[in-house]
Amino acid sequence: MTTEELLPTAEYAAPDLKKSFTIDPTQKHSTQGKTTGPSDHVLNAGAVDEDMPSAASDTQMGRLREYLTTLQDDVNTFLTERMQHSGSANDKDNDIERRVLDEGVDEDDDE
Amino acid sequence: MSNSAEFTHALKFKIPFHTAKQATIAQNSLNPDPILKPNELTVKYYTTSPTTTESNSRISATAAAAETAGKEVEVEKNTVLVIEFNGFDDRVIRVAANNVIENLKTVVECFENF
Repeated sequence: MTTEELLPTAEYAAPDLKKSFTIDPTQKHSTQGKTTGPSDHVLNAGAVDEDMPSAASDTQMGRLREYLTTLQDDVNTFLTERMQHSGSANDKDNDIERRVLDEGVDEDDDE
Repeated sequence: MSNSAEFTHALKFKIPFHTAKQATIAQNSLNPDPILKPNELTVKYYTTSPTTTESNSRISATAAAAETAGKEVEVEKNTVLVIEFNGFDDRVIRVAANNVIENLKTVVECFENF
């Protein structure tokens, strides 16, 4: 068993782009993802997030869970932006998709 | 029907663990999840050893500790879980990857607590 940090990575490849995702352990990380869980809209309406992830313990495995959450957020945000720019759907559809995927907004919500 | 050779988009995660046993447990926990649309996406799980770059700092730390203890250096193999997604667009990869990482975090939380 080592004493070094367990740092997950990701590599993306498409015909037009390659990108690497890495974790900077000197930055602050959390198990509360920005692109997972209920949206602020839902929480502000009084919903209680009963599936909220537990806080990470101050261990390498706890920090790995925080790093995975950051990596998940980075990849989710990147891929959602790619989807928006793919031109496969119109802007309104793309915005709904982004909000459903990244903010957890119900597709049938009326503004 | 599509196959993986036609998939143009790929995403590969590398998740290091302390031991090969942990990496294998994570692999075996995630692997049974069925692929809902195999004509749009493939997912592969396997374990590998840290690459030279990835393992340099770990080897250095391990070597220093071993030297202090008067032991030979031994770095465990296959401690890295690799998850490869290949799909025909960004959407299918995003949905699948998000789901797998969510499940992986549960596996890691089990390691954390037990």
